[in-house]
Amino acid sequence: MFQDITTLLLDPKVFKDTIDLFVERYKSKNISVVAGVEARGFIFGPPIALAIGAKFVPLRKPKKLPGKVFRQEYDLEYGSDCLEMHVGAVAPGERALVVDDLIATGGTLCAAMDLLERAGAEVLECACVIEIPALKGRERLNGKPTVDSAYESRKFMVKRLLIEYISSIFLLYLSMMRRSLVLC
Amino acid sequence: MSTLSTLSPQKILEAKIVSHCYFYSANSVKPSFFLPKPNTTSRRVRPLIYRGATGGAAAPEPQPMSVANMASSNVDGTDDRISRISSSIRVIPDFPKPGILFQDITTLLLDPKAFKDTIDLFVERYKDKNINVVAGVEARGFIFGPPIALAIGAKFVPMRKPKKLPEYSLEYGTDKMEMHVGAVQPGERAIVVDDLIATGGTLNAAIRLLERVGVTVVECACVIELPELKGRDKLGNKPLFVLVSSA
Repeated sequence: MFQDITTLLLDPKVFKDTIDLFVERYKSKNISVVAGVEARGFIFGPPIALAIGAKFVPLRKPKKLPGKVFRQEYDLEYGSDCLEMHVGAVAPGERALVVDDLIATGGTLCAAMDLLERAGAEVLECACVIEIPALKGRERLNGKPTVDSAYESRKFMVKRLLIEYISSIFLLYLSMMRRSLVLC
Repeated sequence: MSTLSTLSPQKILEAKIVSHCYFYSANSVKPSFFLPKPNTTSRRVRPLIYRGATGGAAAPEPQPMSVANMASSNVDGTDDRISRISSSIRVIPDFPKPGILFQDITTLLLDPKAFKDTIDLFVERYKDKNINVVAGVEARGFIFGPPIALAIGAKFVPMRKPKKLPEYSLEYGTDKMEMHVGAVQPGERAIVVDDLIATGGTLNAAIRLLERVGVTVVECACVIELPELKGRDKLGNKPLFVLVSSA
């Protein structure tokens, strides 16, 4: 079962509406950083960043970013993977948003939040187009245990996701286009 | 094209696979910097339109106007934007291999004004050209392509780059590019967007794939060109538009 956002990109109006929904939510939240996860987060992140006047920070697989990077490993169902972010891309105290096309188990988004928080940013929210609720990614973000003792004194932050509204529009669009969609 | 006959197949494969951001330089390289303020440091990436020396080290020599420069009426405004864009691009020496100067656009993305100017320059050029499709090459083409597509009302088609092939796979060819079937229709007009053109192998593969399904590729658009690698020649008769030419 593979949920594919590329059909969304083929309809300029739907793509624009998707971006507009995110922009309306975040434009007055004083967000200075939009972080996008490689590679489909690169499709949705930059238009949002441009519209709200924030900088865009790419989070990439290992060895893609030149220069000094923060590196965060995370578990997959089998094995592990790794995300990297440039040192100095984000300053301490900046308010950040993490963008990806889809949340499944939440492992990638957790790693993304870890990278931003290690650099000192405050992650306001994660934003995705699609959620696969059966994989309980949302719970993994909310109840994420902190390992680093430096974080223990910080306030507990609730990570929320914006997806139901957008995924319902997406599903409506897909059903109108009569494409088959398998939900897990 | 005549230079290709002197290269071994392995070098051709390397040139095509590693067509992104690879630049072999025999010169000594200057240390890299992180997000310099515009117009206060020496430019290591020469802008396409020369406009006199900035502060700092030796002034860049006047460059001849490239074919793909902005010939629009708004030359003054364009020039300030281009100089800000070029000075926000960071050059990293010896990445991914020693001797290569890597053109890093992530610092451009950290400057919202420079990023917006980059997109605006492309949008101004293409908004009246009746473009239906913006194709972007994974992954940095995904950063610049969608904002352009949104602004001009075109659809965005992501294209996957060829993976690194082991040597024994040469027989299957080197130009592999993937795109969803049915993403584009015959007769549509397209532009191909990427962050940088080096040897032109990746862009050439993208053009050929689009043309094979009946799409008219109007132009290729890149932020940076590495002219020594002559990528422009590999595109054949397809025009190329770049903002910054890095010598």
